[in-house]
Amino acid sequence: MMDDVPHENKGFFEERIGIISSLKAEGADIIPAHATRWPTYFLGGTALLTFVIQVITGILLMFYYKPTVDEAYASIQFIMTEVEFGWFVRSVHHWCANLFVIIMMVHMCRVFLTGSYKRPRELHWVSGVFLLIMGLGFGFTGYLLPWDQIAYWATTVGTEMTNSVPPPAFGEFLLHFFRGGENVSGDTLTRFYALHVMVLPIITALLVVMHLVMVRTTGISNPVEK
Amino acid sequence: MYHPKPGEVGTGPKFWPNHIFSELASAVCLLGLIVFLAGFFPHGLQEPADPFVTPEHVKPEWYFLALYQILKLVPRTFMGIQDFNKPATLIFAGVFFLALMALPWIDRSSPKIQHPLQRLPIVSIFFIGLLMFIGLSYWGAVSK
Repeated sequence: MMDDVPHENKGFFEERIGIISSLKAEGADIIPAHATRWPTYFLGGTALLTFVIQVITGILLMFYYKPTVDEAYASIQFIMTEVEFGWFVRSVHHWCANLFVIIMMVHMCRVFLTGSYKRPRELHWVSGVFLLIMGLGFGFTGYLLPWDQIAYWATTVGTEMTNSVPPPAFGEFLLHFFRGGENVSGDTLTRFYALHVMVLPIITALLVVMHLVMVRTTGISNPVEK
Repeated sequence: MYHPKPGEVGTGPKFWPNHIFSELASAVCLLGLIVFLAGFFPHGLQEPADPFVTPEHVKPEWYFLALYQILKLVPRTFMGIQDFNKPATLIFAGVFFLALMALPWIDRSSPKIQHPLQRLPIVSIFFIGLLMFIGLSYWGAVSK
């Protein structure tokens, strides 16, 4: 039967991928007016933008950063002084990381105050809490990478906490898992680097997709009326 | 789902181009803020890590300052338990995030009750929690 409708004037790619028609279906949706009028409804979108900026600037930093005890600090110095606009890319990565967490927190406050976590949006909220935890994980693992004094000692104090998880054998396992040994060392650096540039970004991207699909499914919550 | 009122059907703004445009406007504002912060307040670098020299104050990122302060406030030895402050702080953080995730099931009131003034108990708990987070973070930032 497909032979009867091969020339629907859709074009080669549209006939196979169909992205334009699905985008048109999206565009036909009516958005509640309050969601385009109130700036507090842009926080989710801006949080997504900060994540995208983090991925881009993160990849740029990976071009020059070397996750070893001998080279990490020097490679950051190289980025800051030698690489063209390196200081700027690293500073964007730093500020955008903070904005990522701030915007998610403010976004959560808005969702809380408008009661938008209620049925049928419970899982939107739960995935949002997981995204916030991802943001904190990014901050914790990224803090070590410059391998300066604050990086080393903050990670020493932070990972020391896992040692206290009961029972003691499990706490010790966790400490060794995160440090890659007894103390914070080059093995900790490579572990944190792998978590920071592979594990957390993949989980975060999956959570973002889930979060957005669910928002599309239920639509934006109703305006608040007394 | 968004339920338009009678007579309102089809009158709202469309996702494309209206909603996308307002999203783009907020994106431009955010980009401006990031360029301003990164351009005028570039991020620095401390002395290289030295495992043999412990700095006087080891402060974490600002979003961990509240936990940092709780760690300092809880007594180190409690009822004979050594290093009591560490598991106590971890358990506190765990309970906090579990409670945050469970919010939609803690508050099972009708989805139609949205206005904060109609949900005073849960809203007050939220604000007390928020003020405690801000207060503890500030305390952690200034404490020695």
